[in-house]
Amino acid sequence: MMPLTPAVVHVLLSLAGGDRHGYAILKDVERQSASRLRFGPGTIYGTLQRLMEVGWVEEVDAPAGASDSRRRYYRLMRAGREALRAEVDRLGALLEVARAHRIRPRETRG
Amino acid sequence: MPMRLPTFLDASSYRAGLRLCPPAFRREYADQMLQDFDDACREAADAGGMGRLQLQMGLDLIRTVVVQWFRSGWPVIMFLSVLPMLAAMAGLARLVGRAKFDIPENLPDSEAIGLVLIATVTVFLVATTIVLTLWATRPRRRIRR
Repeated sequence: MMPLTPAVVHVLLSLAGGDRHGYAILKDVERQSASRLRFGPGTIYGTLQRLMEVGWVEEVDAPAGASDSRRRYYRLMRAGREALRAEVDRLGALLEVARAHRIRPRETRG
Repeated sequence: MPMRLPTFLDASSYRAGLRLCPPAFRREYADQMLQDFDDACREAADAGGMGRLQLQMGLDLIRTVVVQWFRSGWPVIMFLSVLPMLAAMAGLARLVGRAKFDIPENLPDSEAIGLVLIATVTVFLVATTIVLTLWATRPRRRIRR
């Protein structure tokens, strides 16, 4: 499988935490990357569109207590979760290689 | 009274920019994108990072317009629409070239007739391209699960 784009990884990671609308995903990506990464609405919805086409994400009804009924919510599907897991494994393996080459030293605990 | 700084991308210009997106994408996401833009601007105004946000939003919008038009398949559709038309025109030109027309050389409007013929073919070509493009990029019904 081809490596996923940063936008896809971050959107999937955000949805792994629960159903969210587009703006919540946008804010979540900012938090995940400690404000180093900021996607615009066009990138977020373009990514969601592609993910829905491949069946990794689906649109769901807004939760009962939703503050804004105009918002549309998205949910991570099983195929999306598996793809995210595979990508995290790939990145983990890459990190191990980087550590073996002393590019990224192992974190010491305690 | 506090001085208001000029903004190069406000909600109305963002809305206008969204109109440049392909119709299918616009119908599906433009309202949400505009709402997100408003919310982000409100937050940035409170935090004092309006200029940077607007620049990011502007660049994101430009990128989205380009990417979505390419994703809509429009360039390929246009190419495929034009290709058979060009082939038909080339075939027609060859047939016409073989035929014998007795056009008097002293006909005053012979150049004008030629121009009208070229213009007609061009308009037909453009109209066919537009119709085929609109047909191929028509919005599909959204299925809500």
